[in-house]
Amino acid sequence: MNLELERKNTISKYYEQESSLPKKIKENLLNIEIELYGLIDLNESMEFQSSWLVLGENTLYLFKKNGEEHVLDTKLLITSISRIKEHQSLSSSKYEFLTADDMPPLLSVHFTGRQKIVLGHIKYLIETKMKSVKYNKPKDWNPDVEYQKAVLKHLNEAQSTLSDKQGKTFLRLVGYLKPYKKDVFWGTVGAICSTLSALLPAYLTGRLLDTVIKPFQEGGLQKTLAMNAAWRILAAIFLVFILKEVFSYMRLSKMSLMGEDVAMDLRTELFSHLQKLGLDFFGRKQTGSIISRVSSDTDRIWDFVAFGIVEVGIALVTLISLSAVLITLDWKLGLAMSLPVPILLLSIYYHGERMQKLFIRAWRKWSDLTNVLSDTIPGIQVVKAFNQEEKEIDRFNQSNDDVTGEFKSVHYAWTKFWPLLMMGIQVIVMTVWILAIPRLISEEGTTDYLSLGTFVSFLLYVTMFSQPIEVIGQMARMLNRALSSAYRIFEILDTSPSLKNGRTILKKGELKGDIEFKNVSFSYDGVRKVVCGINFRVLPGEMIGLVGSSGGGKSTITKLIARFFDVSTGEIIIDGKNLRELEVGSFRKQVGMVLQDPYLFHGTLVDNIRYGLPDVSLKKVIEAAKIANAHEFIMSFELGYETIVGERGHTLSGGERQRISIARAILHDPKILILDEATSAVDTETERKIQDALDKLIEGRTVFAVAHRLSTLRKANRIFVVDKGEIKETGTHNDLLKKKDGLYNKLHRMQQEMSENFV
Amino acid sequence: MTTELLDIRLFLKENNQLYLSGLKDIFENKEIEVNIKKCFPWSHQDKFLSFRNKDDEEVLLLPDINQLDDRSREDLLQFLSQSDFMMKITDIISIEEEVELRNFKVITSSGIRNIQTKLDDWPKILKNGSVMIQDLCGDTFVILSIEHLESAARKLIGTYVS
Ligand SMILES: Nc1ncnc2c1ncn2[C@@H]1O[C@H](COP(=O)(O)OP(=O)(O)OP(=O)(O)O)[C@@H](O)[C@H]1O
Ligand SMILES: [Mg+2]
Repeated sequence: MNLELERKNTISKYYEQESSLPKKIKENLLNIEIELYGLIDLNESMEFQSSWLVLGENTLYLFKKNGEEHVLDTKLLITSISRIKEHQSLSSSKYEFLTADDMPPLLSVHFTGRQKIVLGHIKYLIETKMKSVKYNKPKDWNPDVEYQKAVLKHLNEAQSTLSDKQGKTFLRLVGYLKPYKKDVFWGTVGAICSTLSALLPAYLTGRLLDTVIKPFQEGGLQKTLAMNAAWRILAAIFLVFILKEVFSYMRLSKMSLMGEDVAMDLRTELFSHLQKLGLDFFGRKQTGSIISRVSSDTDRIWDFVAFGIVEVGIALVTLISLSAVLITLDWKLGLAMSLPVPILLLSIYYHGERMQKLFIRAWRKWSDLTNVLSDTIPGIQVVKAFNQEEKEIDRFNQSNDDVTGEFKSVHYAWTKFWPLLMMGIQVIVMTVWILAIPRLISEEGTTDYLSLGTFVSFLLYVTMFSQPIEVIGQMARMLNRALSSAYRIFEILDTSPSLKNGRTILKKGELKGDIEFKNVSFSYDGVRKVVCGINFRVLPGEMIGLVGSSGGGKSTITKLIARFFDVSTGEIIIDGKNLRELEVGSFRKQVGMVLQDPYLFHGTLVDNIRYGLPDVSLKKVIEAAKIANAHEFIMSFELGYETIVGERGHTLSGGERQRISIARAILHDPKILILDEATSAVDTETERKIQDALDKLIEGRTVFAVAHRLSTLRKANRIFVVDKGEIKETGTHNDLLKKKDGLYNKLHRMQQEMSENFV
Repeated sequence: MTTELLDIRLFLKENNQLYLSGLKDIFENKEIEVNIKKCFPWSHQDKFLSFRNKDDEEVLLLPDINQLDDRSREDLLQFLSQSDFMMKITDIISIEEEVELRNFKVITSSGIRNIQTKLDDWPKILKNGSVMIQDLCGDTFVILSIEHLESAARKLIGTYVS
């Protein structure tokens, strides 16, 4: 489907708001280039409305609804605005466009969170215009698209495949069976044959009674003949039983094996797709939820493909053919038996719907319980440190009680319903008896006469009725579960990587390490700017120190360089090329990162050091470890480099982990090196050692080093002081110290005082 | 809690902005324009208000609004009433679940509205009995009291808040 159409549909379906600027307004502004627009969905008395805020090159327009039409209400020249003041309340936001601080605002608008991102963009655009900073819009800028994307951002992050219908999801799932057409065919043949052959024994039993036993008892058949005939029929019944099991073996083996294949295909596709997704995706989904999609959701699909589809199919075939057989055997009894079936099915269905509500309640309590678990188990150190074991036990017991209560009411509802349903079936059976008995006791030859054999076949068939009814009754729920699993899987598969990969592939050694930021801004959530309009140029081989207050945006700047995220506006230029044009993989290969809390994988130290370069020689691994000052502590372990570090490397200390990760970076020989507080978790002695290691490491590379201790940055060519997303000061250590009231000077003074106070 | 009056003045000016004066030590009694953020916006609306200057830095933390003189408090409340808006749900038309999303169709103090939450974001029940729903975009919707809803709406929400 056309993407724009899809976005429009989603906006109107979920938000019931216009999916682009009304035509009438566009016509009103024909000779103006619209840069961006947004919906103002609250009026002054906080009622929903639809006014539109439209930004032109140097004017801001507000169109209000008057009857059916939108009419121009306010027109503001950007130059008349001195400040845009933002108020945030729990359910809305307000912008006030001020001309001077002590004057009433020129314009104020109220709106809800849904409109906040796009209006935030408008605010940002106006503010850059006010500062008369030149701002280059991307070539393919389209206000409609920008508006739609911004409005849908939160919704799309929560669920990527909003427009898919259930039927479409089902077809897509069936599409995964395509490579296994042959198996599907033989599996289906097996299923149908085994179902049909299950119908035969009851029929044959009736025949045995009517054509052999009754004639013999009435003296119409010789004993030997009767015996022979009886054995033959019995042998046939036995043969049918064997055939039935052979067919069901055929079905089960084909289907369950194929189910595994389908589940495996899904898992493979999911995992490789996950590896392509950006960090923003992992930031907004819970790890548990992603893991369960790869593990339990694919397992549910297996269940569905292997058993679900077939069971339902078999149940349907059984019910229909049973009814057909019964009606041909004896249409009166047959109808008495089959007509009430739809009523039973419906009652099962409605009961299922009612159960759904109970399940939601139980599920909510269940998620409370798992929350207690996932809080306290990883956080057990904190629990113990604060002596909260008793309290956590209470909390758990409370949740446990709640869950048990809910599940009990689920079971209560089931246990009440089930005997009722069975009772319904018994009533039908009784009706059949009541109808049959007068006919059994009537004379042979009369129109109403019912033979004993037919009746026995009938009774045997009746016992086969309840199981398919049960299966079909559960079908809706089972289908729902499988579809929602499929949906969750497809949702990930449909999330497109937020980073568009570039074309230019960098060969090893081709990167020089020239980095330029041009007016770069960035926001994680689309609303709050974490980096605002940063400009700098760093030459190959330079070492840059990043200092500044916590939360200022230092780590974010380094993540932008490594292209973990794309900038919101502005450009990052590497060696004269836009970072977006470079192929991400080949670029990152030449970027090394040492993070504050390095992540080690479960495995040996040597594998952790050469992660990403499995073929590198052991000699080099040891050399790198030596440079990183890790060799000594590694050798203090009994198993040396083959020591297994636990999950996340938790058996190592923070400083040890950092040195392993420095060794990792050394081995990669990157052109651009990023050290994010690489020495924050170690004692002074080790810091010295790591510092020495780093000093060897930084030669010939462009280095960005984030540090809180300024002494770490003594080798830096320049230092950037980052505060509230902006670079406030730049220069060498000495330059910066000269600014008496500068931020750097202040930092430096404080650190000196601290070390002086210490003596 | 004892509530001793603080020696500060708050007043609304014609431009609808709130001003604070009286912080001798820091601002030498100059009037400064302030904005207000609440420390506990859900559960304690009139306690622990953070007064912030234009750069969004805290200039004063007010533990309780009863520590203001009457006129200051009046001005403060009036200022808050403009910026302090919370949508109240008065009726619930439907609640539907789909993969990853829960759709509420509700009637609020501002009109009819579709709101979406994540499936694992359950409505939160506060101590005072009100129910808070925070939608995907971060807006808060409140049901002040479940008892006062129509019985159909009560039934719908009952599944989520018992
Ligand atoms: N993944 C994320 N999603 C949303 N916001 C984030 C994310 N990472 C960081 N932030 C926010 O961005 C801001 C800047 O964070 P950043 O990590 O760049 O700060 P920093 O300067 O490195 O701080 P520190 O010195 O404490 O490491 C912070 O306010 C933080 O809350
Ligand atoms: Mg950081």
